[in-house]
Amino acid sequence: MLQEDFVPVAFDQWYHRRKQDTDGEFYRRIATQGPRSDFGQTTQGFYIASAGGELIHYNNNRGPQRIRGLMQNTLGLDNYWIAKPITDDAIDRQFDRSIPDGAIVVQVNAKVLGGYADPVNEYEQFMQAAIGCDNMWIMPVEARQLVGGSFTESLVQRIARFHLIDNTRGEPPMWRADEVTRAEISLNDDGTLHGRITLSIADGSRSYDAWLFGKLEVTEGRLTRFDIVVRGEFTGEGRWTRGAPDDPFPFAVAFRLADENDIAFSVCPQACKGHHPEYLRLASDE
Amino acid sequence: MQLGVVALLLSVSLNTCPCLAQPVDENEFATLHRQLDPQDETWKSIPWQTSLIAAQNLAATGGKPLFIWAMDGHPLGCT
Repeated sequence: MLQEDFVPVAFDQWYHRRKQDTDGEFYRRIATQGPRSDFGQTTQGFYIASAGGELIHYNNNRGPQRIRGLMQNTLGLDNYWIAKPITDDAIDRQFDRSIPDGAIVVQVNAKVLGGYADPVNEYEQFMQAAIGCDNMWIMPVEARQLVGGSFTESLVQRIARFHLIDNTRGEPPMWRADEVTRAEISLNDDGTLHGRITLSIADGSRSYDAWLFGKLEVTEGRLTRFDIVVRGEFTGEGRWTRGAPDDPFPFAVAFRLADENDIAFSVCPQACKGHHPEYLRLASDE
Repeated sequence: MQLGVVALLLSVSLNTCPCLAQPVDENEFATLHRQLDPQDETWKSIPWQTSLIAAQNLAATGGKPLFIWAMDGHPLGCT
């Protein structure tokens, strides 16, 4: 039903609440008709709307039966669906998170490997089994250095600070530069990577002590494999990632080159929300 | 088969395993790299648009309603 009778679209509404452009204005036009019309607060949820911008249904309950019911109710309507396509002629550069020219997109997935108590309901069971998803960007100069056999420090820091995060239960906190207590990644001549990374906030209540192993391959001057696994002990949780296992718990993160046909290929790294300039920082900037 | 057994053992015992203090070896790397790929998850099969305006254009030309999944954190990303 979702694929055939609707046009499904997914995005982080944090940007759309702020963007002063066509995209943001159209979102706010729809959302303001719902119960969450204060754009200084979250407006997250499921919206069913016409292409003309009329809100048909809103719900923030992720139960599949509830969502299916709203969709079925919508299909009984037939007087909303005539509208003109909107021309997207304005882009708010402040919140533009398009893939930088020439950057390589890496798919990043994280998982808690154990330690949870038995789930008390279906939702908790789902959350405990979740694989966190994100993208990482490798800048062109960093890719050239990888091809030349060097794992640049800016990439080491980007992995440590912005991708060794427990995003399996919601939006996680990133690591500040002074919370990286150790970050070493060595690239051998045969393309294998070995590393050791330890991260901790000042009081030690959130930390990650991990080992890294990976394999890179270069074909005809292009990076064709970027497979990495980081595994170690994690402690703590963030404000929006409550419900972690008791400390410490095993936690792993995997990296691989993203498929440009994947639906999430163009999604910007989560860290770009609050750390955009830092995220893009190169060794040459320091 | 062998990787499956290793994955099962990893999932039930890693939280108490002293091997967490050891480097990742080639076998564990292969197992975890495979385990941490959500490629076969159902939500990946839905043709989500990531641009609201592009979706509006499709909805307008196709005479269909929009189904908007708007979250804190990108739905196709961290949450």
